Amino acid sequence: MGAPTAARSTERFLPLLWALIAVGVALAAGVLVAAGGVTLAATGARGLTDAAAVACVGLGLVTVLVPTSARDATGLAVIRRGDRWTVPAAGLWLAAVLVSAVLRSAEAFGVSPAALTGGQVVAFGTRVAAGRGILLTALCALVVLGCAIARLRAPESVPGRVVLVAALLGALTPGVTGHTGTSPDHQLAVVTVALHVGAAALWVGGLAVLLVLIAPQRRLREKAIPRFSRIATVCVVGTGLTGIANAVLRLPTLGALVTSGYGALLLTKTGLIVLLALLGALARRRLQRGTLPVLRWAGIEVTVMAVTIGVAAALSQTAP
Amino acid sequence: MRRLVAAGVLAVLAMLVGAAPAFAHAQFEGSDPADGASLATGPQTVTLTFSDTMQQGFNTITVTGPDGAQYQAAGDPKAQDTTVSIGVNPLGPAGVYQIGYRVLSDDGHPITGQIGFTLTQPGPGAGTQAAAPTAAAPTSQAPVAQAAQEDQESGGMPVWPWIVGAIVLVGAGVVVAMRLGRSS
Repeated sequence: MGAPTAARSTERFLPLLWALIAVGVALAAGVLVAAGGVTLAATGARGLTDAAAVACVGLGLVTVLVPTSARDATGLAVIRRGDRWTVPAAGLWLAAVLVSAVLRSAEAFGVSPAALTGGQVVAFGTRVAAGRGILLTALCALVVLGCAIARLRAPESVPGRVVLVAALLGALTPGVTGHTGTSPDHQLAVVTVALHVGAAALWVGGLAVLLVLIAPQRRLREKAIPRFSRIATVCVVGTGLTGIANAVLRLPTLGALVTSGYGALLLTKTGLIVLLALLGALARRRLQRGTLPVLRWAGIEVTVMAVTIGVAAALSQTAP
Repeated sequence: MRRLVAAGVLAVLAMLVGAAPAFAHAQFEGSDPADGASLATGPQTVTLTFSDTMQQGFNTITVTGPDGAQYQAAGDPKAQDTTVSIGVNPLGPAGVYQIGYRVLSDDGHPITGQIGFTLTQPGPGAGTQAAAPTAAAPTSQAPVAQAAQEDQESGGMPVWPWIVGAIVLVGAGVVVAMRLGRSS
């Protein structure tokens, strides 16, 4: 690593880089599975929505990761910085959801987004389950934004966990409403997809804030990493299991895994998550031995996660 | 912790046993008349069945004859549960009739496709020559949603300036909040 100042200035741009990777991969994967026009744009907007949602979940986790015993001046400063970053993250989330709403409505009506009318957006947002889900996500993003602003003005006005819960709810809504509702295992599929998205968001968002916000403070890092490690283990196992469950519930046949674009994206995601779990386990072992550059590993890990989120966004817009 | 994980594994496995495969997104499941059917007399209605609940107001079905004329009845196709149907006018010359559809299911994804049936005996009808139902450009070969017409009447203005305005407002709010947060 270079001089501390140089390292800090590049770190500030890491979240933006990750968001760009998620959107870029979503678009590339969308092109590969032959989506075009409005659908492709909707896939990109979905990638940005998911990345911003994950950022908000991670930032909401800061108050959980910094234990009460570590809330000295440094600890409180980190929490405050987390609140500060939540404001633009939630703003970006809200903007991305609004763009998504327009693109998905245009896709539904088969018209160009420029010609779309307010009546059509309202019809899509009220009459179609997926549209209602987008409205609910927008509401959650708005709540996160409002809470973050309130916490910025008076830190004790809103508990940090409210931000976390609102962000989690908003993050998992698109997955729950974006699927067909009349399949025989719908209830089961809804539960597994909600757990899947929730666990993945906690894991990825948590690691990202740990790396960017908490890790630069050495004393805080020592208290926060074991706490995160515990959450991450549950989340990794949960993400993997619910992912398998979803694939089993959703794929029409085993053959569709290799013949359809949906199956190809699914296999890509599986490969990425195995890679992530290995990286995580490696980072943990290095940590126990006390050898850093754990943090550099974690940076690579979050980058792979951003790629995974991009693929997931493309998957969500693809029929099996 | 380990016990918790083990319990989770068992719970998910238990749920998976006996779970039948389903689909992530709605799909076309069948039609009346069926794809490739041969009929002596034209059908009164065309009914398409999908794997998810269909929504009224987002669907288009066209019946195009061998003469290139359209034979579907005027009006919005009727969505009921998982089916979308439209009336069919008396058919004309014998030959292959194409049923084109563009429908929307509850998961928000449009489904487009085309099926065909053969009329073996010419009927008494004559179709209407296809005229573009709306000015909107079709995104694929499938017909454009006529539903757009009906909704354009309720809110004729394009919505994108409002969305751009809302995003600018959110951006301004974020900037102001960040400024205030720094000073306090």
